[in-house]
Amino acid sequence: MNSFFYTSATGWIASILIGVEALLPYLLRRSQLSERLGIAHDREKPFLQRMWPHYWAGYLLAALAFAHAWIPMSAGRMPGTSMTGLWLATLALGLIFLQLLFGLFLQQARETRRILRVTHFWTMLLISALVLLHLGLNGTLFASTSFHSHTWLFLRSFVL
Amino acid sequence: MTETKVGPNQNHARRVWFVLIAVVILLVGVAVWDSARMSVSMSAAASDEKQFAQTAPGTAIKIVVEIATSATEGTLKGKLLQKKTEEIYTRTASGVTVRWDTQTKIVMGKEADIHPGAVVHVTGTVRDDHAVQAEQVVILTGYVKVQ
Repeated sequence: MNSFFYTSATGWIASILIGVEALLPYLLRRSQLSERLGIAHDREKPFLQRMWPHYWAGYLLAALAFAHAWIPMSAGRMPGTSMTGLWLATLALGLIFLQLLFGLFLQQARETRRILRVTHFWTMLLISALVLLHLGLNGTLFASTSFHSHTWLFLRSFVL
Repeated sequence: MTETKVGPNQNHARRVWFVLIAVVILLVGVAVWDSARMSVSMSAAASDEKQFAQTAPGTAIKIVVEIATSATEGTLKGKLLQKKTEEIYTRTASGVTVRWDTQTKIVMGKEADIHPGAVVHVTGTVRDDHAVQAEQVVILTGYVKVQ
């Protein structure tokens, strides 16, 4: 396996994890989503204790995003790709680490809790937007004109 | 010993969590599968010079080409590259002509990436005139080094 595989795989898993990470707080506390799915907790544990999957997914996401950036840089070659996309991804990586700090502060904060939660939420939206732009500008999925045929090949390999 | 009773609500919640976790694992599986497939399509063994010269018309072939000239009507000419390592290729003396059209899948890039100096992995069939009719062109520019 080469550096392309590791870069691509860590990038995709990190993208999936961003979605999971954003959804987890809505699944772990009483919300419209958790009630509709029938998984709303009846408060047997405090909310912050129930949030442990969100914390660990956050640490894993930061590690994966760092590995995703580190592998192609350490290989010494960057493919002929959009520099704008790479700068946006760098900004997203910085924000992911900042988001970890916001999360850690949120676990302890009392007076500033509301403002920290709002900041945590908007940072999540900003990271998601930056990652989408990075995918559009640098990702192989959207660069490929044969995305639909890839999907078809994948489905066919299971169905036929 | 104490026995923990699990109510119907908890059973339902467990099932939902199981499905959600399964969806995430499936998505991760698809991501790894797609990355591996792309990686393999980029690194599939390119024919060596001698092998390419002896390939009979109608044979399916995979080659890596450094483009010297390309025309918009779907013909590109270049030098056959020989694989040294996963990411290093060496130039050979063999010239190759590749024909491609709207049916050709272009992966890892766009038509605009097929230009002189670009490195492409071509999957196709050898024609009677010994040109290669491309079914898939993978843009390797930047991912591999040519020596």
